[in-house]
Amino acid sequence: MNIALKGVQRRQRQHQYEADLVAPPQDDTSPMEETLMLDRVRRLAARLPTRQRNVFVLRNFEGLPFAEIAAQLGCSEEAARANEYKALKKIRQQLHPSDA
Amino acid sequence: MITRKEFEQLLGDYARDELAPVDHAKMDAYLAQHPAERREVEQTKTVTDAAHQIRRTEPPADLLREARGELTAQLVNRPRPVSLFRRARSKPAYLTGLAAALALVLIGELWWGSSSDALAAALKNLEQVRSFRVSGWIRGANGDRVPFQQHLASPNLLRAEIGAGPQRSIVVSDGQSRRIQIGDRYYHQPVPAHQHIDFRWVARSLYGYDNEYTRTSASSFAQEEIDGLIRYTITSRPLGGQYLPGIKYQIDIDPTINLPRATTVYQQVDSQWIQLSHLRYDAYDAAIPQDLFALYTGLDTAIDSLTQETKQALWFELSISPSSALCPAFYVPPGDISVQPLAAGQRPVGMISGDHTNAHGGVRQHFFIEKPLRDIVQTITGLYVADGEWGRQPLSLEVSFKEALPWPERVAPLLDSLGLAVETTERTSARNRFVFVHDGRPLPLSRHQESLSEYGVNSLGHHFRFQRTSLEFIVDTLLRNALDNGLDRRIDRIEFIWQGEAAANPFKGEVDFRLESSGQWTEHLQALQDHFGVSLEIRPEEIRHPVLVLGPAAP
Repeated sequence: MNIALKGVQRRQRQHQYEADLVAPPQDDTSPMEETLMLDRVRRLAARLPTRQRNVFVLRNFEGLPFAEIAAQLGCSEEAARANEYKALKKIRQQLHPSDA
Repeated sequence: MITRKEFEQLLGDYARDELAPVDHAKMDAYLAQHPAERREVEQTKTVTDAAHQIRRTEPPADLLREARGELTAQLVNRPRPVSLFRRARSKPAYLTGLAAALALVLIGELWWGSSSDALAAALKNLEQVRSFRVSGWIRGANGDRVPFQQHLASPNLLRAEIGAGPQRSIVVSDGQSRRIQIGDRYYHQPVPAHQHIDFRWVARSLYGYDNEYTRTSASSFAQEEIDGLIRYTITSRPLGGQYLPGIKYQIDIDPTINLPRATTVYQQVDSQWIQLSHLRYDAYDAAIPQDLFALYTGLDTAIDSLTQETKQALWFELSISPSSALCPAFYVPPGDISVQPLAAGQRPVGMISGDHTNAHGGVRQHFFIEKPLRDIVQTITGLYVADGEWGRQPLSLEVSFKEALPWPERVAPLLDSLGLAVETTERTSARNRFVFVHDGRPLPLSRHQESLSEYGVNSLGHHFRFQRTSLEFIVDTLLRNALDNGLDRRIDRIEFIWQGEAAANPFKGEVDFRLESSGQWTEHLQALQDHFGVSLEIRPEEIRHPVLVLGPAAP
């Protein structure tokens, strides 16, 4: 068993994957406020331009690193990051319109 | 000081707290100089935190589907190289039983997300049993159903009989040593102490590993009642980071005794589920004849040594253990080799590029995603392939073959389909020997029972986690996965030098180790030195070696 397990693992070594990240403890937002906030972010994400939306979704909901997103979307990592920045900016400006 | 543009580039990862320390420090310095932009960070953080929470609770399926769809579309629309693989898999005719734990590992990792407490309780009950029998059949190398019987007694006693008639082989192990009889030939193999197994391990093997290694399962889990038995069916699929074939595993629990009565293993080959074994479990705590677990030749001189060749022939007998009671199986392709192109939708989930190999039971299975032909041929043959225009085309393939197949036959179907051929020549090359030595300090012993090895990379850096893993494997992994190791995998050698007694070889010692790194080899080496007293000497040398040269096949 031991040997076999290593045999499997040994051959995984050259492959990169995103490690699981532990969720941070939640803040003191009330459940209702949190639900509303999540719903708003979900809706705002859905209204983003396609490329920004896909980069945002892949980075934040799928957890893909920028390098993988860039490689698979056929753009540079810089462009992927720029798209995510634009997506984040649009969402936060609509969440906090007074600061926009 | 970073620029505003760089600030924007890093903002998302900064808000997610996923920046490398060096970039994090740059952002902190930037914000110290630009306090007005802290508000932007705070607001961005509310978005990324919300997104993280959405990801954890209810990721929007429609958005994910669309985003993944763009990935798929990109992959599908990429210009494909010449790909004429018409060697379709015929109906699977050759399957071979495998006693070891490939599928067990798979199941152990996959079904945590949907496992049943009732099944867990029943299997845990097995820990209280003193002995039992497993009997039924497994697939043989020629596709036949081969009779299989196994007696187990706690702790560590095993007797397995595989096949019938003159070809029947018998394996007896007492945990210290293993004896194998085939016809009138006897073989002997000591069993290392760390492989000693008790019924706790047997039970957990049937259930899955009991460790902290949990992840959301992509497998399905079903429960039904059939003829008074409770049948649990677990269907596993490859997960992100896992590239093992689909396995369907059924275990029937007898509710009257709360113990297993049968297991059946299927493997997915193309779109079919091939049944690979069916085993019944009975004779729980039955009296066992005293000589059942003995296998004596009378004369030690009658025992044959285990040569490399014999080991290859006896792969099944050597890998079987008490915890392989389940006896899963492994697919051997027709004609001993199969080459399949992998379209985007057929690739193992989570595998975007690179290569991955499963090897067990004399069968090797490679997945190559967008790998240059040269690398593929090199991996399959183990020989150096010269750089050249014919080797540069990227391919995505699954290649499976029996390891006993000579290298020309391993690459022939692939090269034929591409209209290419290979010539062999020789050359003199400079290479490095990476020689690792140990300073003799005692190793901290592993606190774990099961072996575990994980490696991941994300924006936070490189993450290595080893439990009960040989130091040699850890060193090798840290070297190969370092960004700047200077290692030419095609030709350089990695060696572990130990002058003392073989039994005390620290590189064979099993330890626990975790490392978070930036991926730099100097960092890895320093950690190995600090924790285990391992140091490295690089010795350059010149060697004469065979070289494969790819070119067009003669018309």
